[in-house]
This record gives sequence, C-alpha cells and structure tokens, in this order.
Amino acid sequence: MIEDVGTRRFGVALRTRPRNRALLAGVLAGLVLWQLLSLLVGATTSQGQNVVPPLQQVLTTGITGLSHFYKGGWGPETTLQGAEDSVPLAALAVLQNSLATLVRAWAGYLLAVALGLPIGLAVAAVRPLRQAVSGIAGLLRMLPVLAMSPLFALWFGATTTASIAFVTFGAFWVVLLATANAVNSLPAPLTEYPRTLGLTPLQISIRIVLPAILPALRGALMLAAGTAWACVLASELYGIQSGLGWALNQTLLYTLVDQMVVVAGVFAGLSLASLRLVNCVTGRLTGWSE
Amino acid sequence: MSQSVTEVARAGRWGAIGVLVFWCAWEAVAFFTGKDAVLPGPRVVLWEFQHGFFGDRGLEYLGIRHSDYPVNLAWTLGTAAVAWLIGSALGIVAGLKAARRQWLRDVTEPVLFVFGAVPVLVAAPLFLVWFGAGPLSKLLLVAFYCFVVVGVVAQSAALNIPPTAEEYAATLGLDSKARFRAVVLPAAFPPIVAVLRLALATGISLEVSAELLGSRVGIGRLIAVRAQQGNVAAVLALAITVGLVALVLDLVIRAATRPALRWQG
Amino acid sequence: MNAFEIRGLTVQYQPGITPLKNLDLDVPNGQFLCVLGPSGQGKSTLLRCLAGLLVPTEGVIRAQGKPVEGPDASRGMVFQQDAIPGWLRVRDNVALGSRSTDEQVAHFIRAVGLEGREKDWPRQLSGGMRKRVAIAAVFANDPDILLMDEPFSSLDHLTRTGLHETVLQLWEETGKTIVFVTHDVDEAITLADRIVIVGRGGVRADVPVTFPRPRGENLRMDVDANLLRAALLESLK
Repeated sequence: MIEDVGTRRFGVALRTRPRNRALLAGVLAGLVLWQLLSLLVGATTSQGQNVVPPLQQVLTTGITGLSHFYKGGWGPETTLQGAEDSVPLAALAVLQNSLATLVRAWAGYLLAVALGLPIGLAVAAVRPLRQAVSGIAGLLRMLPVLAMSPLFALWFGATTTASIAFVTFGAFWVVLLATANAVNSLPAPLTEYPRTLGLTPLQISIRIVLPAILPALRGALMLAAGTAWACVLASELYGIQSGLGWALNQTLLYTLVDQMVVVAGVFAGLSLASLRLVNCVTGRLTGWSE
Repeated sequence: MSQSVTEVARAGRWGAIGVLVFWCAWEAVAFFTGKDAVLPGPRVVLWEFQHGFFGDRGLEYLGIRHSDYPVNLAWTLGTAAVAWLIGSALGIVAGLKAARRQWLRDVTEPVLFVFGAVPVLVAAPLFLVWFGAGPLSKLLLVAFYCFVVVGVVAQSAALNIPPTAEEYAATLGLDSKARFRAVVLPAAFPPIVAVLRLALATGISLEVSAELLGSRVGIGRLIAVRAQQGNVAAVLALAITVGLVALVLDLVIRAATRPALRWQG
Repeated sequence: MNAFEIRGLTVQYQPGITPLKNLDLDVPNGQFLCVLGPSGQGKSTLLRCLAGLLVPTEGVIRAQGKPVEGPDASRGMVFQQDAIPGWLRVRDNVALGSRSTDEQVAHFIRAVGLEGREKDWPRQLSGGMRKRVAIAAVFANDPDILLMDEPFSSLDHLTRTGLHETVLQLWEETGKTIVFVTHDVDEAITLADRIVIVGRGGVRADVPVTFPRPRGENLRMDVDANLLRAALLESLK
C-alpha cells in the first residue's frame, strides 16, 4: 500500500496500525507488572504468595501441581495411585483436559454451523418465517445463556454430551440469525441473474447465495466461535468433571492461584488459536471479495 | 415512508406469532414428555415464578438470607449495569482515540487482541480470589469485558470512516478537536450503539455466570442453589426473568438512541 | 498577488512512484483554472498538495503569498467522492465550516437551488443535489480559493450541465479563484479561463481559453472550440 506521507504529517484522517512489536512489548510489560505486584503484595500481606504468586512459583509448582488433574488411562500412574508431581505428568494432565475441552468446543461449534447455515438459508427464503424466527431469537438473545449451563447438566448429566449440546445451543442462534439477515440484504439481481440461466432454487442456494453471504457471515462465524469457547468454559466450570474449565474450578476451590494462572493461560491459548483458525479459513473462503 | 411502516408492523406481527408458536411448541413438548422435573412447561415455570417471587422459606433454611426476586434482580442487574456503564464509556474513548494515536493503539492492542478472542469468563476465578465474593469482583469483571468488546468495535468503526469525510471537514477549517466531534463521533455512533446493546446482554450473562461461581447474593446464586436441587422450573423462571428485564433495558437503549440514528433512515 | 505560486513541486510516494516532479505553476487571483490530464498522472496529488492534505516531498507552495502548512478554511475543497456527513441535515451540512455565517448559509442554499430542502437528510437527496450541498458548504465558508477534484465525474450529463451553470454563476458572483481538476476535455473547455495539462510529473501544456461566456451548447458548433478540443485530446495521448 502507498503510504500517504502528508496525511501522516498533517494528522488529517490518520489511521493507526497494529504492530507486533507493541503486542510483544505489552505481553512483556504484563509479566513484569505481575512480578512487581507479587513482590508488593508478598511484602505487605501474610498470604501474598498465595494471592499473587511470583513468576518463578507459577513456572514451577504452578505447572507440576497440575499433575493431579491427570486421571489415568494413558499408561503412567496418577497421583491418587501414588505418583509424584512431575512435569511429564503435568503435561499429560494438560493434554488430557485440553483434548476434552477442544473436542467439546469444536464439536459444538461445527454442529451449530452445520445446523444454523441450512436452517438460516431455508428460513430466509420465506419472509414471514424469517420474521417469526427473528422474534424468537430477539427474546432468546437476552437470556443469560452462560448461566444456563447447569440446566444442560440436569438434562444430559455431567457428560461431554451436555457440554456439546450447551455449546451448540449458545452458538446456533448467532449463525442462524446472521445467515437469515445476510440473505435478506443480498441485492435482488444476484439471484435473478442465475435464475435467467436456468439454475434450480437448490443450485442457486448452494452455488450463488452461500458464497455471496460468506463475507457478511464472517464476523458472525467469529462471534459464534467466541461464544462457543465461552460456553464450553461455562459448562465445564459448573458440574462437568473433566476439561480445562473443571481444572480451573478446582484451582478456585482450593485457591491455588499459581495453577489457576497456568490453566487459564492454556485455555486462553487454545481459544485464541481456534479463533485465528476460523479467521484464517473464512478468510480463504472469502478471498474473492477483497 | 408508509411502506416501511407497514413493513415494520408486519415484521412485528410475525415476530409475535413466532414467539406464540414457540410457546405452544414448548407446552406441547412438555406435555408429551410428561415429567415436570425434566422439562417443565411454561405454566409450571410461571407457577414457580409466582411462588418464588417474594422469597422461599426452603431457601432461607439453606442460609440464603434474601431469596426473593426483587432484591436479587436489583443486585445482579444493578451491578451489571454500573459495570456496563463504566466499561463501555472507557471502551468508547479508548477505542476511538486508539484509532488515531499510535502510542495509545500500542498500549491497548495487547489487551484488545487477546481478550477480543478469549472469553473474559476465564479470568473470573482470579477476580474472585483477588476481589472477594462481593459485588466488586463481578463489577470489575463485567466492566473489563464491556471495555474490551466496545473498545474493539469503536476502534474498527473509527478506522473505517472514509478518509475524505475528515479531509473535507479539515478543508472547511475544522481543527482536529472539532473534527472529532463533528465527524469521528457521529460516524462511529451506529456501530457503537449496536455493540453497546450486545455488551449489555452478554455482560448480564457474564455477571450471572460469575455469581454461579461464587457469590452470597444475586440471581446467579439462586440459579446455582436451584440447579443443585434439580429444580429445572425454578432455574428457567430465574433465567427468563433476567432475560425479560434485560429486554426492557435493551428497549430503553434503543428508544434513547433512536433520535441520533434517524439520519440512517 | 497570485492565488498560488508553486515552485519545484515534487511528490514521491516511494522509489519509482513519483506522480509530480519539479512542477512550477502560478495561478492569478480570480482565475478559473482547469487542470486536465489522464487518470493516475498526478492531478489529484497536485490538488491535495494545494489543499494542504499532502506534504510535498520537495518544493514550495505559497497561497496568497503564505506557505501552505496543512488544510485550513482559506482553501475549500469539493471532493470526487460523496464526502458530506450523512448525519447532518442539509442546513447543518452547509453550516459545517468554521467561518460560515447564518446569512451566508441561507444565501448559498438558495443559490445552489436547495431552498425548501434544508431539513432533509443527505440520503434523501440525489447524487447531484448532494454535490450542491458540498458546493454551498464550501462557498458559505468564504474561502479565498476553491479546489474541485473531479467533482462531477460520477454524475449523468444533464445533472453535470446544471451543476456547471451553478458553479459558473457562483464564481462570477464571488470572484473566487477556482482550481478544477477533470479528465473531461469538454468540461474543461466549458468552464475554464485557462487549461493546464499535467502529465509525466509536470505541466505539459498551458492554454488560455478565451471563448465568450456563457458558453454552453453553442461551443459544440464553434470551429475554434473544436480545434482546441482536438489539440487537447492529442496532447493527452
């Protein structure tokens, strides 16, 4: 891109840009701040080490302590069976619970997209139906969704199924509404032209409408992915006995802040990576529009 | 003009019909399930609402001092609303300014980048440990969430204003402060209103779910206790009540901002 | 005094992309100057420099004797794109400028033919009428110089002809200097006192236009006008 030198110097309509340097500096500054805070809190209160553990504690006991989240079944003995806390065992624990969380989040998200897209396309084709569904969704949108995860645990038990169903429930409406709205705002000639070429309604839906709404849908697919990760966390925090959310809840129960920070960090990394992936894939699919 | 009015009326009518059909379908499914403990119908939920509204002796035996709806609603929604106001105000200012000042962008970018994608709920346990089980921990959590969500949208809104709009104002002699007031703020206003509404709905959701994790008062606390009792109808009654009050707040925001959005037609 | 004195104007975006190179030009006060040139040859860059929206890599621009240091109210600009804010009603839009007065605003709304539409939103106006709003706003702000960057290129022929008449009327009434960028030879011949062709970074032709005003459609039959048109088209190639 051509850089508008003058615009920059005169400061009219200036636009800032994201800088990787700033991102890196921000993370470093965050770590330094944490360490300073832990020194300060540690010096002024008796329980300081437990409230804001210093980085060296987070990186040692914060990691090895995770060993007891390993539930066995993969070869090595668990801590309940007498194994000592160790880095390999902690790695297994993180891997085991990350997998559980990843499967739930992605299964729920993909299910929501697989249901939301076709239903959205069908709903959009009939205007009264679209308006009726918007009416329902307008109400459901205001429900405290995250706090309704205990319901799914009551219905499906404390199982992975409950978690997936809850994630799907949370993300489905986002995809459905966005699809219906995107179809509604397509310009009429876009579907009239292929009709003059003799395409059937189903062909038009799949080959014309679906690709045409993808750029408008991209934001909603990202929002739905974010919702899915919030939902999987909520469902694991209350009731389910595995996954990173469960581990996080346990660290809260016993106030193990060093382990809490590590688990939260792993969860943050996974959800960030997942959203980047969705962004990348949808970017590929909509490459023609930019 | 009259065309669009009838169109709005028609959408409203079909929306109402949709809600009615949903209600009937729910009632029918509940009827055929036949187990109120698993899937209570709307009437059972309504009954639960009426009987729980002014408090429940049973809950008071469990050590919940205030079990009535009004106190807990006021607690939960009051905390969420104050947090929303603080977080959103900061988010709007930071987002708009960060689109024009590189140093501020550099400062806000790490926070907005990470928590624009990572659910803020992940920080709830830490906030609970640091700020206790009182309202402060949830207030800070929800305010932080609103700051991030509103900040991200305000920033991209300010970045997407066509440069000519600001250049035009500059050639008419408006200095940068006047341009901010006359161009940047109003141009970014529509997407900001949309995200403010989203932030309120999801902020309340976050507040209630943080109360599930640890709180002495609040709708979330009641939901946690009712869920432990396996009382589906009571959980639904509480969640729907929060949803309805949130809906009223949403309507208030829409009505309040409508005059400022009329130029869009 | 000259409205503009341009000396050695050079703009380089990056090595190899140099739309303006060592350009010299004087624009006397009160002149209607048309800058003609093929697309992407530095016309708009020149105008942005004159407005103060773009800092030249080298060279000096003096407006009324003072060096240009950023955009200000003394040089108004009408943009090619729709630049008027959509959230201001017609009257508020015309009154947007920092120097506009109520009297001027009312006068120029009448002058561009928007009387009775003061309370409309821009979205309720046609493209041509939105251009009229921009023109009224610039005149109401009482600048010394008007800069117009292909303002009518997206409009149909009839609308454009109407706007030409309006702009010429206002120019004759106020006596302001106008620098008008266009790629349309006929538009330039209809409007200008003087046509400058900008290409390959500099001034390639500088032609006075002396046909009596009002010019309008009768120029199409005029032999001299057709000769000028042919010559301009030739030097644009």
